[in-house]
Amino acid sequence: MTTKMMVRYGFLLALSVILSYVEYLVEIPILFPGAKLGLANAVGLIVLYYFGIKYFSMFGILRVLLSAILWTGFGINFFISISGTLLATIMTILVAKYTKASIYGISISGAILHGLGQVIMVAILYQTLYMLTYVVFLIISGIITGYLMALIVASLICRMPKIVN
Amino acid sequence: MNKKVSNFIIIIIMSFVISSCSNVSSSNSEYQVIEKYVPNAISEEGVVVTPFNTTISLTMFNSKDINEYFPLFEKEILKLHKYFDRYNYYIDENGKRINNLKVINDSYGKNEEIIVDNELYDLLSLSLEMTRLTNGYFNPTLGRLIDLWSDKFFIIPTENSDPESTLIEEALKCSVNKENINDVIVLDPIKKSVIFNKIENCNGNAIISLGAIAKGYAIEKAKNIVENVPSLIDGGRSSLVATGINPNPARDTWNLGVLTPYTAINLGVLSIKGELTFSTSGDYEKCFYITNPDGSLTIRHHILNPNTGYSENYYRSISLLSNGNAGVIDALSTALFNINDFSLVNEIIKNVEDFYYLDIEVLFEKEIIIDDKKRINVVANQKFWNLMLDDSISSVVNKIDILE
Amino acid sequence: MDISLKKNKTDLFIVIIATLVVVFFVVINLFYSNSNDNIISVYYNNNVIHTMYLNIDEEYIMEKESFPLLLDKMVIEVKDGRVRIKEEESPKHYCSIMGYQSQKGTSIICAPNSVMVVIEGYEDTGIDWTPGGVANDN
Repeated sequence: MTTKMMVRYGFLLALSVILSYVEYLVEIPILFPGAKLGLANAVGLIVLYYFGIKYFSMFGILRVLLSAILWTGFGINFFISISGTLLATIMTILVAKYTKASIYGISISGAILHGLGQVIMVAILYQTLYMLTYVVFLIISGIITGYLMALIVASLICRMPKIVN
Repeated sequence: MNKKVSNFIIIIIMSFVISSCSNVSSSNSEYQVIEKYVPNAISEEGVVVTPFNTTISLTMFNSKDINEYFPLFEKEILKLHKYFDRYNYYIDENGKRINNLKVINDSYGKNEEIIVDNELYDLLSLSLEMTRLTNGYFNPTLGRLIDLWSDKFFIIPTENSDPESTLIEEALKCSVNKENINDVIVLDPIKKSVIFNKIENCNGNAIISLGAIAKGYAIEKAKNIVENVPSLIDGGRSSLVATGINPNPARDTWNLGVLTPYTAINLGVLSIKGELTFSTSGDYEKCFYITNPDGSLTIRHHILNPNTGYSENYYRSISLLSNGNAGVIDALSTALFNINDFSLVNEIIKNVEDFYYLDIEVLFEKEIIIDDKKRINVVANQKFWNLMLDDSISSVVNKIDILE
Repeated sequence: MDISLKKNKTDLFIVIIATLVVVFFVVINLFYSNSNDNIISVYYNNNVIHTMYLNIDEEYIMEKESFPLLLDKMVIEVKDGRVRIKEEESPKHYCSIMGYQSQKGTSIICAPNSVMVVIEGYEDTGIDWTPGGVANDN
């Protein structure tokens, strides 16, 4: 990784953390309380596009860790976030590597898994299957936000100058 | 391609919205039993108070009805609870303290004229009438006596001891008899005011307690809110008002259970079509027991005899059925619990029926011991005698007599 | 990373699968909620704060810190198709004395803690109302 790449990676990481914080502050209830727009994940997609799978794999986790150190703390919400991000990252990598999905498909699968990951963690932590009906909402909001984020990222990339790895 | 995906997403959302809509509409035409309880009130000091110290609930048979009537029901019950509560102060919307029963009791012997709301005035007036009609066996001035016993009672009987007999004597001196009651509780129908005068020979305070009649009065008032819409209004699980015709697809009568004092053995089911008022009191609702010198046990319960200051054990339970006026029925069931003489019982019931234009049926359960086993003798009016008797009662019911 | 920026068939495929999963869950939910006599609503101060199911064993713990109207910690248990208040603080513990309940339409009322546990649904037992006051003689 060149210095140039490291700097850019760092910037993108910082951007992702800030977007995550903004979403937390503004908390627009898109579709369903708890479902977030996923702006921070959009940045992750950009990393995936320009830096490849290896660098993407750590990106989400790093973002959650940084957020935890900076402002969320390492409580219950941290575990829930980590769980969602981890699953989303894994799914994104699998879809990107083994399917012919475009950025839209990748984003949608990532978004869905993010929500599912959180619900699974909640089910484990609170020992309740109450959240099952939640899953339906999360999948639908995942499809929608995934699509929207991909749309944003795609238009961004088209307008960005060519960046060489 | 763009359009196809977006269309797809729209279809997904719509199908979800539609499926949740159909759930709602199907439930409206179904027969459902929905019971809602009146929530707690907050006293002037911010203390959470349970209405009438028990559960008051409204049951209706579809969600449209319950959603329409319950808010009014809740409002009315809470309002009446605040008026009739003798333990807490409450403030109204303007921040002013409500002149409720506690305020009246505070004014005992001070010759103060307390102006009260219509319903409290009404209830006091009804209480004075009932004192007269029941020969004083219903008595609203027993507050001091009741307070000597109330901490000992519980829904699961435990062993305890009677209060000191001197305390009981003093408490009895602070309750009026039916001749003097109109001079002690002086009501002015025009000003809607109450003066609580000093009782001769009473050392300390006298206390008005409306516990034996307030619940019934409240659910009676609540009946005006639901009118003919089918509903069950439950006061503390011991008084019931049913309105309208039962919309149950299987039957159109209200089926009410009548219990025996014995676990899991019911006397039977009373089956009545249309509006009704039902009240039941038992010595096992709130009681404790004392151990007699000979080792036997005697139940002490919450329905006190105003003449002796102790509860009586003539009956294990009394059930009353009537075509209206739950407040009157509530007070009547308390009064009858302490009368053993059936000719007096009949006389009092007739007086009440005539005065309030009611039809009242009664069922008494008396316990006797036969061959060391507890058995129930039932004495009841004709209508009760027609109740569908449970198969299991043959083991505990000794005989059933008709009350003439 | 060679990611296409143009939407393609695979994307659609992914969306379709996700939709099928949604449909699957909705169908399951419908079947599940038809037996809505399995639902147990836990009321605190007359609001439903938790839902349990008769056929899913669960222990629901309510701490006084989160629920200030409680006299002390309360535990509601669903086990083997029955529900009871397992642990609670009240005069002589009369809320937990009621024991296990399983019949639809029954409620366990714990007034001192402002809690009610209601088994939703309705089972026509032929009786519309019985007086309360636990008959306890034997």
